[in-house]
Amino acid sequence: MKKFRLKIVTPKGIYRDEEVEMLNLRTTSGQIGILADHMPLAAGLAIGDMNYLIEGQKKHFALSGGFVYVNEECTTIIANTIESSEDIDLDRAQKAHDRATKIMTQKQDQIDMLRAQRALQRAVTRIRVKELG
Amino acid sequence: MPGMQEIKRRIKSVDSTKKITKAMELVATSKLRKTRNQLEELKPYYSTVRQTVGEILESNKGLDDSAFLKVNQEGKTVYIVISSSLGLCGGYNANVIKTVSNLIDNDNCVYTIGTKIERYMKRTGGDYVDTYADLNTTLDFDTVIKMVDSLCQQYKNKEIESIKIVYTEFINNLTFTPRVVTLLPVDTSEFEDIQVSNKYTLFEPTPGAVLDALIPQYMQGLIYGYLVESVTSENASRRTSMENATDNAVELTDQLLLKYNQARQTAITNEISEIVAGANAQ
Repeated sequence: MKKFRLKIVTPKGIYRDEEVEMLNLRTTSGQIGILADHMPLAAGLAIGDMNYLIEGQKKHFALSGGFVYVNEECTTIIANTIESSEDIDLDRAQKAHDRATKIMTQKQDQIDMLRAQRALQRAVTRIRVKELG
Repeated sequence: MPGMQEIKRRIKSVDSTKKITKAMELVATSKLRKTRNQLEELKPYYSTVRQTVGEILESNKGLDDSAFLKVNQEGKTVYIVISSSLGLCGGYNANVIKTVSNLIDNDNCVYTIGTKIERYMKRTGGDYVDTYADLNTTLDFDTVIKMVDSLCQQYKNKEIESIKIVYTEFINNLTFTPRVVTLLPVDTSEFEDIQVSNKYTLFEPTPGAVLDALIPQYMQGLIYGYLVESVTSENASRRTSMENATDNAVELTDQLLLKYNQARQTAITNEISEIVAGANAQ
């Protein structure tokens, strides 16, 4: 399979910079797959899972939103946080999940609700990625 | 001439002050190294985001349908001001306050980072809205995200005319100057140096929506970068002033030691002449 360069940058520096075969992402408007020689694309990323194929092996990651930009040389993912399935602390994710659901069952103002919703999304993503990886 | 006992006491006190300033210098040095590393780590993120924003703006020319590119005519100006929470860092806070005092009047809104500027705003009766007193020590990216989220929302609702940030630029270990930068509306001329690799980019779903998602991210990177840079300047400033203080203390103890020896010598001479005079009288 033809490979293309994938670069993942976070505020903590360059997270990954490698040649991959296939990339699956969840954008704000739905799930997309990217192969080599994809046409230039810019899209926002939703909170969700991401995976890519390298040397025939699938690697799973949890993303908390971000941005993807594809051009001829390189596919760039800009993310605030990214965790591979090995990095994820299942206990912590489970606790965050419980906390978020608890807040959402109580009556709160809208901002808290929104925040809890996002926290829940992140926690669910983490748990799923951990199970996949 | 002060007595020997008194000089001795002063030497002791200067010496203990020297020990403190020396320790603070060492702490500042290690903190400076840490924040400089952090600044280095941040560079790829910042430059990638900037490059991407530039390319998208360039290939999206004329289509300024993002709320962040439009100039709001009404609303207030928000200033984000970064200062330190600790003193003894030379002119760092004074310089920031000097810049701010010419800039901010009562119509503005001020977001303060660090307790020094917060206290200044309270003292002058300025109308500050939000304070992130310990953001300059925690350097927590999540807090920056929250701040940017609320600011972007307010900008979209046209409550804010523009957002400016006051930070201290780190030029080298000895030079740092406060600067004021406009964050929103995004100035498209800033990106003119960026080369566009192609003109046919697919935007998912629309260019406006993509920019709406990307520009807050760009601002987060920018604010975080300025924050780390300011903290680096603070530590560099503290290191330099503590180094000077230590040097001064060393000089002072040398002078005092000289005085002490003089006093001691005088006392001995006096004693001898008294003994000699006593012996002669017999």
